[in-house]
Amino acid sequence: MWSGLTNWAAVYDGFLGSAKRDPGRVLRMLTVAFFWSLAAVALWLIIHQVVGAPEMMKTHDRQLIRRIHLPPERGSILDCNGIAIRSNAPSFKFVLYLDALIDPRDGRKECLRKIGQAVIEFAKLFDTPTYRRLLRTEIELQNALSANGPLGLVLNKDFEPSDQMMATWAVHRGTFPHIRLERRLRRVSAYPGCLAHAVGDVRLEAPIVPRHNPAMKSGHPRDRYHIFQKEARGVSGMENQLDSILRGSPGAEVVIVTARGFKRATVISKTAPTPGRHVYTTIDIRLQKIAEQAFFADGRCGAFVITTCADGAVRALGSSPTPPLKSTGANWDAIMSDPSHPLLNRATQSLYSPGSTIKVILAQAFLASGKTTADEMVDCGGKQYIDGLLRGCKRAHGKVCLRDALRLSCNTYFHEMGLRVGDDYLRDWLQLAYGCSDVSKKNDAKDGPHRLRIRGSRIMTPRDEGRWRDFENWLLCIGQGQTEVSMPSMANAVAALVTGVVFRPHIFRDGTGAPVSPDQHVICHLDTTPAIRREVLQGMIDVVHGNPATGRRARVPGLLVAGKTGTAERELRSERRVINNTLMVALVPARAPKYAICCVIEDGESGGRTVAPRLKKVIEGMLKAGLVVLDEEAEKREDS
Amino acid sequence: MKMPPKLKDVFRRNQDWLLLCVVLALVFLGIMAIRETDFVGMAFDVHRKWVWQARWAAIGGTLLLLARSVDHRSLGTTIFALYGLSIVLLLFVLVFGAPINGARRWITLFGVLSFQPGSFALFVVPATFCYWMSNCPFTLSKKLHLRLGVVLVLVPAFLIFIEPAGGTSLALVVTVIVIDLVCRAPASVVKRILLFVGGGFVLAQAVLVWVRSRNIDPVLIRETYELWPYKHQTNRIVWFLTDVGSWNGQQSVLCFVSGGLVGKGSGQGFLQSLGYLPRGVASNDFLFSVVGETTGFTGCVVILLLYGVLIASGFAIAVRAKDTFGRMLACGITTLFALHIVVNLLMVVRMLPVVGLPLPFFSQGGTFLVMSMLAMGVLASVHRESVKAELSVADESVPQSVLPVGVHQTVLSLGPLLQLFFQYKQSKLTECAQALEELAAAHADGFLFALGPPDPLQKKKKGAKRRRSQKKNTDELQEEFPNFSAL
Repeated sequence: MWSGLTNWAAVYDGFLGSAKRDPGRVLRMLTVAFFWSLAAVALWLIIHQVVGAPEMMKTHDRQLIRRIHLPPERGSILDCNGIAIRSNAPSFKFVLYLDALIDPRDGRKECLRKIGQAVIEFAKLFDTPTYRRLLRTEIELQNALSANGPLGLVLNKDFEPSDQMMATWAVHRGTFPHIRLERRLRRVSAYPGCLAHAVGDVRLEAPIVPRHNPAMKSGHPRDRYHIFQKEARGVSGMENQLDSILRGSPGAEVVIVTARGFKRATVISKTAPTPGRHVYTTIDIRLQKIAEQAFFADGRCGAFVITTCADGAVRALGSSPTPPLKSTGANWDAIMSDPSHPLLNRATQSLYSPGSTIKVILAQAFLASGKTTADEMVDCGGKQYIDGLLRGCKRAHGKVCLRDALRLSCNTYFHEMGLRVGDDYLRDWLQLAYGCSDVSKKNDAKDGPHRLRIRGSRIMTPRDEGRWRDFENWLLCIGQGQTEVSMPSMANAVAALVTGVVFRPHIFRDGTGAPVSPDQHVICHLDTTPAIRREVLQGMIDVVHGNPATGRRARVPGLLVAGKTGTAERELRSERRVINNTLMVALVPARAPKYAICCVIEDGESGGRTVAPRLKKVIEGMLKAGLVVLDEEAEKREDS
Repeated sequence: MKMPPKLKDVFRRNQDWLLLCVVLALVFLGIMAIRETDFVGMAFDVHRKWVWQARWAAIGGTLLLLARSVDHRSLGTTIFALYGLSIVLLLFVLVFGAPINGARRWITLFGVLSFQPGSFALFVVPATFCYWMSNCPFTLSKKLHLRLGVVLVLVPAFLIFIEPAGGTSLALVVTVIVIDLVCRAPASVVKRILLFVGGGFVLAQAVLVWVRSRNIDPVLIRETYELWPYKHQTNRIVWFLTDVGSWNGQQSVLCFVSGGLVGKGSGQGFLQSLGYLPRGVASNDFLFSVVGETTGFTGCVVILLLYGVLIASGFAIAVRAKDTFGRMLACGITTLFALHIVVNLLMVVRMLPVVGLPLPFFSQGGTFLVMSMLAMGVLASVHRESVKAELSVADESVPQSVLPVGVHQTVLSLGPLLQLFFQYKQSKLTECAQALEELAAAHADGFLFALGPPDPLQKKKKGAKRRRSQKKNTDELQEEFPNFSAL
């Protein structure tokens, strides 16, 4: 082998042989060979350029074209008077546009150096701790560039510029031609914490793109066909429920970008975004504010609902404690583990035992059954044994009629009458009054998204099928046991005392904001007469204005208020103790009821002691705001 | 259709003019294509690469004309001095050259001009080899002669390879092999070699299609090349075997595909103007892709035809060369160009892996352009000398040419021609005739167009002298290098 290597010249000569040389022919063969090579190139060009390669053209378009989604302006949520409960307010952001800063011939390092330098100079201009965070690492800058593409690099966002800052910017903006001050929209409430649960919250997030989107096949930023800008999406409450209406539809700008992806070279087409529609609610923002301040001033857990007696529309509702907005960066682990459950909307998602407030409904049932009259007296002897258990009133009320029983909240009277009228009748009556027969609750298609989503109330049923025991009757008549009612249903059941009609609690008006006929919200008609309703209403007035009376702490001078207090025991199994859920329902003004108010404060003392003072504050606030007027003034108006 | 013998004769004798026209067209189109790559957007200054290319083309054109007017045989032993200079420059660049993109290929002069010793050596080394094999100044045994000739090539090839510039080094070695085969190998052997190479290429393309359809993970392929010291070469092979390809290769193919039949038009080549086809390569190695995008198939075919004419003319000159050195030189220069052309074109359409060989007369690159044009001048000189030799033995009564032979003579005759034109305009026929006689006396060689053939006696004397010297040279050659006797 070695000899072969050393004598390679001889081997080479042997390979060439000794045949006759013909350089001319060899050169002609070489010419032909090179021509064939050129022909191969020409053939390739014919196949790919003339015949075409559609798959490759797709790749070509995909890497060249970007569809920039333009977020629409989100619609507002308005109250019954057209005042914005939740709307958009301008905020500002500084955006660094790289196409004006970077020469396309610059390399990656040069690009990053220029960006870093521009950012440092900009940070020096507003030398505040907020801006120091602009000094990012190279990797962060690269990630931001990849994510933003031709949208620019957002330096600082969602700030409220001071006059001094704006003046500084006005002076120095000429030195930063690549940085622009841009307006963006931020979601704001009418006042902090307004309807936090009911209206809900939004979050800025990019639209969800399927993982197997062919445009993202390679995973390289340059191959991303779509560039999404974050848009506000409802994550809870009305913002989430009516997101499809509020959101609108995004626009699109189809552009050709440079290889680095951050410059719009040519705009192919542009479609403007369609702003979201407004949502009109039945909420009265003035009443809402008054009620929130009055009921939850001391931070107790509870809920309230205020509806109109005429159509069952919800005018105010609230729940305490309220959650912080998501944008505040709260400690969500602590919130989730909070035993008071701040994320729970007690006004719509919780069910409460109505306690003695059920007696208002039962009183109508007794009279409507025809088995008793309002004047019939029952002797209350205080404690008594029912199915072997010592129950009854805390003290003996003596002989009481219906109005006295309501005023004193006499359990014995209602138990006796309940036994006489019959449990099945009472159960059916309660189901009607609390809207348990509302079939549309289970049918979202009927009302679409415009429906107040509340939990369905449930009325106690006997343990043995068809046979009620005395103790079960007792529990039914004092509003405890398995009977649990949502707050809006409780308010509208009381409101039915005015019209005899049970309305479906609703919070939305139609898309144009025009009032809707109350007939659309009727659930059922209770089989009562005005005389019966008047009698029960008088009993409720006695609850507030009688002496003694459980609801006397809600008394407001000059204004007749009808109410009923209630206290329901609830066992907290986790803490092994029993708490009192204190309730009160009221009709304001009692002379011509306009609003039905229902409120619950958890772990309170009693309805009269805990809720009634708060209710008084609400009514005083309503008087002050002109939502209700004093009786004397009302009479004058009627006379005039 | 057969060309009339007289016209064919004229065509053959003026083939160098055709070649020069092709070169001129290629240089012009190349500058236009480079100008396309200069567009980077309105916000920034235009990169004037095309101006530099035009300057280099002007220098190269001057050198071309000078080289054409000089007899290539007069190069003599000067070629060894140039060879030595190229070796020194290659060593210099390896030691002192500033690394650009990981390679030490450029010597920067005065901080502005950059010079590539590799391109210089690419032309000097084959010429040296040709001279060594045809006119060896020393008396050596046949074996030693060949071995020294191989060493003469391998040393600069190795120096170029470790720059690293593997493509240039490979082109150099292949050119020398082709020169040797043309001069020493019988046609049957060359035919077998060409069939083997062609068949291998077709088979390799078929295998390539199969490999790409398998979507082999590049990492797996790369692991098999871990031992190779030059990672960029490994990566090129790896990406060549994958379906996606390297970024440059992928964008190059997309340029052609998106160009279509007639292209997107000037300034509309998004892929190169927006930086998809990286600006670092768009103006040199991948300039043909830019043509494919902006002018489409039509433009590509024009370029291919021009290169076809260039290759055919080059080899035709080599065939007709009367002396061994001239034939080897013409063959070497044409092979070098043809290799660059074919490899570059096959590379940009992803039929070969990425190799850093530019398109002659077309791609951006000052040193390479100047050296290419100089080499083209030498090729034209070979042609001129062979035509002269033909004319010297031809029938003296036959008009020898309808066009001026030497450009320098043509340039010199322009002034008197203009003078003649104005004199004719003024209808001063007498003075005109007088002027014609003066011109005939002053420019007997170069002004054949106006005055007909030069003095046959003068030509005959020159031809006889040349034949004598040629015979003497051939005898010496036969003694020193018997293998070349067939030429």
